[in-house]
Amino acid sequence: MRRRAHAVLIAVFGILVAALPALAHHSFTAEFNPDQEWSVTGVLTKVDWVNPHTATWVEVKDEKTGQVETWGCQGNPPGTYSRAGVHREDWRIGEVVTITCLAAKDGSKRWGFLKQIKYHSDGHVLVFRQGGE
Amino acid sequence: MNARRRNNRVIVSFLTAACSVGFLSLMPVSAAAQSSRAAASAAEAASKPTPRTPDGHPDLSGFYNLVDIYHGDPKEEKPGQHVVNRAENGSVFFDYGGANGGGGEEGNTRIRQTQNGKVNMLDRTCISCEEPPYKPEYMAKVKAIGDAMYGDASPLDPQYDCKPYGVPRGSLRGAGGYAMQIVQNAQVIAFLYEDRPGPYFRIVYLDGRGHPEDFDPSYVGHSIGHWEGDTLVVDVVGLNDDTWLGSGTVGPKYAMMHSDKLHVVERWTRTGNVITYEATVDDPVMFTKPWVMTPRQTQLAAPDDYIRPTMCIPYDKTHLVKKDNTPYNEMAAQSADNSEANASVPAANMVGSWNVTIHSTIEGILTEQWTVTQDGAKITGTVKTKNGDATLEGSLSGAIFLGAVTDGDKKYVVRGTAVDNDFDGTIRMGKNEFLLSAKRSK
Repeated sequence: MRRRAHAVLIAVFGILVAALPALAHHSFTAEFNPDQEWSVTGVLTKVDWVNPHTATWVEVKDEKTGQVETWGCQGNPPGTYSRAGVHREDWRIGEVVTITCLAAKDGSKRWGFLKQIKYHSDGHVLVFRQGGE
Repeated sequence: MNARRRNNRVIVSFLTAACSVGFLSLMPVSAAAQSSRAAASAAEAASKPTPRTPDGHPDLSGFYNLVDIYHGDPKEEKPGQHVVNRAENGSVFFDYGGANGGGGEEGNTRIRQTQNGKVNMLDRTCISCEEPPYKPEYMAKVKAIGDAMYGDASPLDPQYDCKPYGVPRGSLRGAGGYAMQIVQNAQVIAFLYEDRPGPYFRIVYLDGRGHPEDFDPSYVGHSIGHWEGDTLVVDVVGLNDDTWLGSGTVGPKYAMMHSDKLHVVERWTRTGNVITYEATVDDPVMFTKPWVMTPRQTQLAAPDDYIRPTMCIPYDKTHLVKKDNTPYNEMAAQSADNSEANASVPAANMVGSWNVTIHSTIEGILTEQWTVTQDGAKITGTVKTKNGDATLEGSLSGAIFLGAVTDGDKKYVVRGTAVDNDFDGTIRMGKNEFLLSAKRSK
């Protein structure tokens, strides 16, 4: 029974960062479509904890053909995450996940901007939102 | 997992940092002055005593960064603020508050917020910043690149190859979540940076030497400094032409390429916990006269902040699009198949009756019942609560649901994932977001 014991949110804190363009070195809308999402289910194989943006990688197996495809999603910079309290260990490598990402504007179909990771083992989610939504 | 320990650490970190004061600004001084809160905070930081070395000069040593901890009610949402909610069960909700999203503090001339609450990055320009005085033939090139860019991002910008920002663009860091450590003694000042191409450094020699005659050009050049009163004056030559002057992260939009004849004179002044950076930049090849940059400031970081020495991988470059949303690489456009991406995951089936539990930290456990009908990815339904009926609307992207419960004039955004007979997600009620779980009844 893969049911989760939900508990209340207990830690709530905010970090103020000056509202500068410098926060991310460019707008995600220069690369991604905020109005179009995709999601796939597969194995979380890697997170690149790198500048200027983190990248999350999932391997998706086609059950019919057995073919494995790699899907990737860019996230915010590692310093932004870690200074806000979101850490690399929150990416549980090897687990089955469903990831949801904003679509790439250049048409790359297996690339996007990370919105959510859901772990199938316990239902935990990592949700990433841009403000204003 | 050590969720509780993490929470404690986070809270301790919050309290520690909350004790420090500091609004950190790399924005032009004139823009900063428009924000009274920023100005007040910067004034307070600047009023601290300026540390000095044994020989009496200002000591610039310290860790500088543009991150601050929000001091107010943590449940209250403010523009320009990252918010993290970490549930005890391990789930994490991260709201980016910067330029990509809810940013747009009033008085910040570099960010304009559109009426729908999203930031229109096409408006992201440094209005008050001085632009480099390019000769007409170079200005024509710069304008052509700039006018094609979406916002201020271009794949021609060396930063998208993870190359160092160089001098003067990257001298004063603290932007983009990146930071800067300064270490100073009587002979040298070292600037340690955390971002691209990875952790790297720059040395300014204070021992009276001149520039070497056989210096090979590099990203940070060769720097010699001396003191004029309380200001450190640094003369920089030997810069290669593989950096840009601005655009993107800092500076005005039309500040791009330069020659390897660049000559930069920087003036660094520490006042209390604030550093003011001024520079005069001459490029005899491309400029009609020296470019006097608009001064910038940064400020000491929170006491527990530190360098994150991560490397850079240029994932962005090949995906940037032009102002008209078309790819730079036409081949990529032709080979791309959006329809396949759109059709890759069929919508989950949410039809049926769902017993819903909301874990409110204010009202406790709330229960309601959803009766859901579905037309493709479109979801509609009725909601029965203890206070009466409401409606549910939304859509599915694969297993991901995004929608809202509407009760009279109140709307509660619901996000979640539907897998088999389980639905897990969140519901936003006013300023708070609560975990929501549901089970489909047989």
